[in-house]
Amino acid sequence: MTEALTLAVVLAVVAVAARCWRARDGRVRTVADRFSEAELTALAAPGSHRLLVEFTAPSCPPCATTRRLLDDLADEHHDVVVRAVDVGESLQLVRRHGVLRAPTTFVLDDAGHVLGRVAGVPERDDLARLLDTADDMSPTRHVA
Amino acid sequence: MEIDVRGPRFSAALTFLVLAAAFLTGSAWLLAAQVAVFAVSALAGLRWSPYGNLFRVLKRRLHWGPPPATEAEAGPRFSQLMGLLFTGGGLAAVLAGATALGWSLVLVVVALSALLAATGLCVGCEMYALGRRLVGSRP
Repeated sequence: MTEALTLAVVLAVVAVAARCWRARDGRVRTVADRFSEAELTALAAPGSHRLLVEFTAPSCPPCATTRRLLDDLADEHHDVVVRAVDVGESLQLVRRHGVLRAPTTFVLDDAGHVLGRVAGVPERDDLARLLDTADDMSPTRHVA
Repeated sequence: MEIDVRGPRFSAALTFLVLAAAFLTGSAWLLAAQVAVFAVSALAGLRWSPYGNLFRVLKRRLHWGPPPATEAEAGPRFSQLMGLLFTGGGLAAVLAGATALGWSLVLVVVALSALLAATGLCVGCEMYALGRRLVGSRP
């Protein structure tokens, strides 16, 4: 009886952990972070467009799924460029921005400010909404 | 070696069932059997994993189709090693009479295998990738 109760408690903890995981996985989070000019230059994407930066790894199926999704979004937003960063080859970038998982995606404005960050395969609607919101708030859009 | 991404989740479900049964019945034999499964998978490689082979047989027989994706075996193999250390330590403790400590170690693996089976989140694999990243080599 005690064993069954203990197992039930363990399963309840797992259920809560799973729920927390699902609530965060793929969701856009707002963080105060910025990519420096040097980092943007290293990504071969200085200025004038927004960036979707995917931290990726070899043999990572969710990374490939994420890349396809980001490419789709870039097709829909003419000022958005996608860049992939291999976590094994860019350790400085990984550490500076606290990347713990692959894939992790950063949405940057044209000055390198992080508009949002997603761990795991992003929810497409969340990312699209963020890009659309940034479109509305962009002063360059209103100038035109 | 690349493996079907569904394999580790299938293995985690079986691991959960075996360890939960061992805990509920207090069977050190059942626990020892799971320790042996972990040992084969971690030390000989996932190609020899008993649960992995059962998965491959069922996949063929039940026509589960080609893998939706594949992944390197290193991460899942590392998590098998973690499972071996925890359940092996648990078995040693149970046999030495420290049953509370022993079954507590086993319950950690029960929880993590349930999490993997239910959500696809492999904590051992994530730890492996993070560790490789922190020491500066490719995951």
